[in-house]
Amino acid sequence: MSDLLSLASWGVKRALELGADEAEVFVSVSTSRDVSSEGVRLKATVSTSQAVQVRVAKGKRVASSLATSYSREVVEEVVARAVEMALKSEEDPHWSGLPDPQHPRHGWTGFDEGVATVDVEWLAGLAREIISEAKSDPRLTVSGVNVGAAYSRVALANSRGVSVEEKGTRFGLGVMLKSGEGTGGSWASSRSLFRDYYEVLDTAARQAIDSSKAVKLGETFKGAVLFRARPLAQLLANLLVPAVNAMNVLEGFSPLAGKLGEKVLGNLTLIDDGTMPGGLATSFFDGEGVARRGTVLVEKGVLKNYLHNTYTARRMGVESTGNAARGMGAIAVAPSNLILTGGGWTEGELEREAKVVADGHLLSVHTVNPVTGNFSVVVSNPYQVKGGDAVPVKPLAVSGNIYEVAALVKPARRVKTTYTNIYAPDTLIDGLTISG
Amino acid sequence: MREDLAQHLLAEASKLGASFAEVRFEDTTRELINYVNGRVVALGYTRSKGAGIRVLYEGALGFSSTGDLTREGLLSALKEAFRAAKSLAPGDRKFCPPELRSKVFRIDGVKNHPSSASLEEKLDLVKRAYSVAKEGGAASATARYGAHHGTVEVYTSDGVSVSVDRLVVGVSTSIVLREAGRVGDGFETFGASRGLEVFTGENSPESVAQRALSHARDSLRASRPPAGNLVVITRPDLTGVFAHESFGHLTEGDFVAAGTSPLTGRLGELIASEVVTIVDSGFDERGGYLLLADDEGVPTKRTVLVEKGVLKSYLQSRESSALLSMEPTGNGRAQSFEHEVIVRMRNTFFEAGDWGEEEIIEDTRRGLLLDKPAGGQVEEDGTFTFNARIGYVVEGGELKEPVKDVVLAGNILEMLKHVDAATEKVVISTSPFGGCGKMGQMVHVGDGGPTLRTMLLVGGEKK
Repeated sequence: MSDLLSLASWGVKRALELGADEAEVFVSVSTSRDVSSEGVRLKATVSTSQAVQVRVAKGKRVASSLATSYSREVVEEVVARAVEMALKSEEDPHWSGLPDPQHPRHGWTGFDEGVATVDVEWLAGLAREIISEAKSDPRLTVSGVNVGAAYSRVALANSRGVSVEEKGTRFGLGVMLKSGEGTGGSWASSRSLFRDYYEVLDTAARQAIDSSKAVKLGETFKGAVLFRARPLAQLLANLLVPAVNAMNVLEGFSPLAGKLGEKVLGNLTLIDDGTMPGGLATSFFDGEGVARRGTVLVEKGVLKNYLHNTYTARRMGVESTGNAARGMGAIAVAPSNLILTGGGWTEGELEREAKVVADGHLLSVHTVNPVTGNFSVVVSNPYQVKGGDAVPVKPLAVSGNIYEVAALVKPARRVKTTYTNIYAPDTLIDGLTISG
Repeated sequence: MREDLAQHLLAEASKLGASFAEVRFEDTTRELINYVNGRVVALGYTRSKGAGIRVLYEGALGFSSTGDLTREGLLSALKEAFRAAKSLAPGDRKFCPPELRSKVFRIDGVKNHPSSASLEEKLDLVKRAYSVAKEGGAASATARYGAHHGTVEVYTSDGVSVSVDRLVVGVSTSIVLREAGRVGDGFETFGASRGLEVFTGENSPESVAQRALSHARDSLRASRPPAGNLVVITRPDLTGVFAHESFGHLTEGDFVAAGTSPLTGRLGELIASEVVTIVDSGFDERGGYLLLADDEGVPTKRTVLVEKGVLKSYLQSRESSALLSMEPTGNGRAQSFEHEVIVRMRNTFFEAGDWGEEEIIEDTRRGLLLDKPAGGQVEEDGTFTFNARIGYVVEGGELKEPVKDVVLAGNILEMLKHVDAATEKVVISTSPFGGCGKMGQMVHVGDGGPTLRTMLLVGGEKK
């Protein structure tokens, strides 16, 4: 048993001694090494984050507490605080206990020794190289560069016998460029080390140079927008992910409540898969020790499942989908790797149908309304499709309601990584209001 | 106070060869109660205790953080920071000399500090808000209580020795109404750098919930707004997002030093209409977040960014001010000890004009009156978006039907020129639930202003 897991187990024992009926202790340590720049001026940071998070139940009264270090004294303090709060809290009639132990359902570890051990000097060298390469094009200036490597270890124990631990790594690099008044940015990330930054640089450069030539759209009309995979992923994360979250369904904050088995999303298929080899969000267990798995959320437009943690699953009488996430004060629900499956069109075919191509990223995407499905977002690097050509235009607003236009959504064949936990194809959405 | 530990560490930094070193200790607590549909669904307490260390070596900057506050733990973090700095040396980074050397900044006059108030009292706040929502017919309602409090201590090799209080408390309510197949939602929050005694009168949980309910009722019958370039009147909460998101970020000294802000090199220029005066301050008697000194130990100032349309100053940390040969303004801030100091806003707001809100509406032939922000964002070039949850069509000088989920877009340097009216009344708000995000860091801020009138692109529905 590792030092982290033995500390977690000790915390569970201590909570029971202090009067808790059930207890769960999560301990994490992560080290991140980052070299970033403001303009071309670099700085380096090495941060070690530690956390101990405790959830206890006394009858149906539940509380949690967290601290940012993990000595035995701190665990004692955090456990005592959680037990004290639970004793004074109110009952949650739906509480039905912590998860039971499970075996992992896959064998892929998202850990790379190279990322875990790479030193800050190497990261600094790579950051300098990216800056130098970007500066070789006289049209470009560097707004910022980031190269980072993170390594984390987590351990979790609960009073029902869950006792798990795992480790993971993540490496990423990104660049933000300007060309005159135009801006562009791109990034890539992986569970393992890589050093090929050319595609990232080329994407950012193309966006910056194109947007420096952008003209104002100067009109408002209804039409089809081809979202590139990355901006589409932002829309999915903010509009659909909250709607398939069982906690929102139970509490009345989802338009998909009561619609299992109904056609709600045109012909789309949406899958959550926490076991996918190589996935940025792949792990053995979720945030409360339940095994990750694959879950079909929407199949050909028909709502099949919601995303669950143990609490929501037991309230709805189903099995947890292994989507518990550690939030402040409670266990939340969050997707693992979310995959929008490909459709029957090539990107070229969809480009020809589009009035506008949404590239770059979406601004204000966190303000979409998942309760109603309404969204109004601004596209950072859009193109207007005119006579077969894509002409760069200034940022423009795209608005609509995802459920109203769901039947008009056409995903391309190729599913791409968006370097977030979302994997999606470029996707055409018709019936939207475009203004700029 | 951890002065002895800090001095030992600073001496060690000097022995390593650092030309400057800083240790910042944090001991803060974050509290959250989430009360959803009559049940406690989250009851949380987070203690953040640790140190962040910055080292300058041959003009290169390294940062490291640790939760291990033993002498050995801190020394190990210092060595990491030093190694990080050395990997980038030589560089051209430097720090402005500190204006103030040693002081303890306390927030006085707090009667019922969240650190000593009982859990029952905090639960009572959310239950009272929830009752109003429920009685008002909410299909779903969430009431929240939040607080963040504690101290930050800063010690540097050039003599800074400062301890500063942090405090913000707040309640919020979000409500969903369902009626005849229609959905309406409303959200309201109130926060202040005060004790729990602040939650009375119009700041009581009942009043907060009542306002959320009123917005939800309007939202129930609201439609999508018309799209296109329109006259837009923004109420104070929304004006604040305008001040913060659309303008404030462009005045941040790190962006100016990097040359990426469109305001670089434009001090003294007329960049807005004469109606526009914008301020960033660590304190204001009209409300907001109280920040007496920043995370570099620099006392905060009232910084006038724009005065009657003329760009007057930028926001500075000790580092950005040195790069620009200007004075620090007390805007060097970090989310926690695990984060490095960067240039951040405090309370950013438009100053008052001389109109009444009714007068502005009566004077407007066609446009939108908008309230309740749902966030916003700005790009480096000044392109921004910000969103309003609820508003009304204005026609012929009168308020007409409600509209919701409105996105506004434009470029700040164009838009500020169109501001032609501001009210006398100014409101400045803050909240413990969120704040401003930049480079992956979230800090508490305040924002606000008067009701303003301008012209903007509205992303709505093509009718």
